[in-house]
Amino acid sequence: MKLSDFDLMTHLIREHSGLVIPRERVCALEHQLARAARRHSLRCAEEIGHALSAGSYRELLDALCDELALAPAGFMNPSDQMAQFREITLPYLIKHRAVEQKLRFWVVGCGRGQAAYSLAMVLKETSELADWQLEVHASDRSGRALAGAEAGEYTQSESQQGLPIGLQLKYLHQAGDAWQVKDKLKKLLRFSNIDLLEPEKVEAKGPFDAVFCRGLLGHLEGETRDHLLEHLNQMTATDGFLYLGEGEASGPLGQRLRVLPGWPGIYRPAGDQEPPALEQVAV
Amino acid sequence: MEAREGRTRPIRPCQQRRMANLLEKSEEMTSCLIVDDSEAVRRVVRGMLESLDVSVEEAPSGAQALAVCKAKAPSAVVLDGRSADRAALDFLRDLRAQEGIDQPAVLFCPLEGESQQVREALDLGANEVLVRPFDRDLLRSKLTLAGVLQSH
Repeated sequence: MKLSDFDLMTHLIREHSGLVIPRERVCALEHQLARAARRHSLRCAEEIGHALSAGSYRELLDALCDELALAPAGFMNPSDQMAQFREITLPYLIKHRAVEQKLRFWVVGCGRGQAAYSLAMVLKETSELADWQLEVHASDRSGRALAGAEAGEYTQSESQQGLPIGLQLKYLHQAGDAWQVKDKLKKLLRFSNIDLLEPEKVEAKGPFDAVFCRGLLGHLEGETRDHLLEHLNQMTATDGFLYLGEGEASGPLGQRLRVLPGWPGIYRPAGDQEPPALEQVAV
Repeated sequence: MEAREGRTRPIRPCQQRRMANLLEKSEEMTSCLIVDDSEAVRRVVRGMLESLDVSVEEAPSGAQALAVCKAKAPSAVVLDGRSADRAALDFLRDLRAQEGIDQPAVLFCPLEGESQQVREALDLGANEVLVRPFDRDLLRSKLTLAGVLQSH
């Protein structure tokens, strides 16, 4: 691909979805284009470029943006943040929600659902929460990814990525060559098709006790990114938590979020009120 | 079945040592024994392990594998479970019955994930299960879950 073609493509993609593709990713984009070309019976990546710049193939552009935005999959990923959530954040929330006995979470850009199901497994494995009301909201702008997440079906290989065998046998069952998430886990989840570039359309209303949005803000820039971060912050309870990718909290609001000491990527929301300090919890 | 699922195994002293080693970023290289009767499969798995900076031993049978475990104390065993016979499970039982050796983490590699064979392997002390076919990334993921490799 010529760099001028690449620049044209990335411009179209940014206009359409807000995604920013840096020049280092020219190889990744070519690869995705070749796959998209195959699916749409076009001869080559260049032909896609011409079709897109001529204004046709809007759905192709949709599909392309979906693929480029897909976060790295795998269960319990990243394992250190999941361990932190289980051992520090969750005991804190259990203590601070002892009266309501209700916890709500939001996984933003859930892709095919591994992160949301992982979160649900951690909740199910916490015996103190047995009688609590638990909700895991999961959203993605890609209808295709979301359909996959709702189906909760994974290949043999996907089902093993990051998932201990004990949890796999407990919450998934083998159905032919695939593995299917069991209903007892699925019933914690609420899926919705949300384009975060239009946050006013978000149906899942806050506040959430923790919001997870990894590997999405890093693909955005400028106002688009600032607005999304602002929205995520608003949707997080005053004493809640924001799980982002490392270094993804930037811009004016990013400066005001307080990172958990020792946990890059995990933040307390910024607001008028100070959340109760985490140190008050014995862990 | 229900009661067994999700159970956490007590951490064995050898695993504690291994974790301590990982924490200290010990210079000692992680070592792994491949137990498989197919030379071709051993060679493929060896390639994956060596690319993960793991030193490799091989054994074509349970008896030879047990001898290697006694002599070389590998950190982990990648145990083939393709065959329907009980050779792999017998080896696992014999291995866990050994006293006075550094017990390795055992990664059991069957063809089916949900089977009586897998449940037995877990009961006999397999630490993790890696269903075939697998690639280097899955192998790394499971060795990390078994506490043999550090998460990256």
